[in-house]
Amino acid sequence: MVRAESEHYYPSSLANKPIAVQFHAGSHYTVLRLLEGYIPAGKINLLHYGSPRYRFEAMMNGEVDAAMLMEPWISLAEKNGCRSVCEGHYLGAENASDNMDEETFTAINRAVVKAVDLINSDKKRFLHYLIDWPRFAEAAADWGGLTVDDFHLPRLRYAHPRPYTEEQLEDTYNWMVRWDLLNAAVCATDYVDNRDAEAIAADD
Amino acid sequence: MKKVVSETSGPVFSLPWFVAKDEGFFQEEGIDMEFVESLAVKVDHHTTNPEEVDPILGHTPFEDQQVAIYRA
Repeated sequence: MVRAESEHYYPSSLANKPIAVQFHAGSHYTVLRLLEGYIPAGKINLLHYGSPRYRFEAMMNGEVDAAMLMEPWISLAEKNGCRSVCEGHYLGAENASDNMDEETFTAINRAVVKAVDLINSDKKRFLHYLIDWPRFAEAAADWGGLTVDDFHLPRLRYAHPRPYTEEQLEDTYNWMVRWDLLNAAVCATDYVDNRDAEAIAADD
Repeated sequence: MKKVVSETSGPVFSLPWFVAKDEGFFQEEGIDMEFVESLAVKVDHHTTNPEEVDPILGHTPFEDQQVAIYRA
């Protein structure tokens, strides 16, 4: 996202310009995936600003040219005249500790599946969770706040829990090694254990 | 009821979990779900070098074994 008065309308002009992200999180990896199609790696200038509130504020006060944001910060930025120069979606999954048994993990995910279906049946009904989240509401109050009508609903995508495929895992691993985000001496299966997730998929 | 403590992240990501709890879907599965919020990450030094940043970020409840599950 960039400010309303920004000179940036497409990704290429962000070469060498400071962009606020949170390193080692979705905002870091997604912005690399989005910008590497437009800007040489050496000209992608990312700065670690931490949580989305601080990235949003750094963008709004002009400390950086752009910030990588997710909802509800995107809607708040748009309400304040900001615009997107590129958007991407990424997959998130739940990570359980070694002592989480398969039966419990499967039961949890059955409940999450019901919730996903309910949310998708009427997204507006559940936007108050985003609007009223204390960490957001406190900051958003300084920027006019949000209502349910400020959201672009197709941006909110919820799907049933499922394991990463071996192909996704391998491709992501190779991409992270190429960006020097992982030690290539460790193989992908050392990081991801899909045993319980596969059991859930079989029950679905 | 089986007690499970889960770390939550931003509401756009944790929304299905919040809804599952408030609509009683976890309870229907015999799960007593408790949430612990991940920590916000605020930094004073805005480094350009990812190696200077601890990749654990705000997921300390999982690292400290306060919770059994988290989202990433």
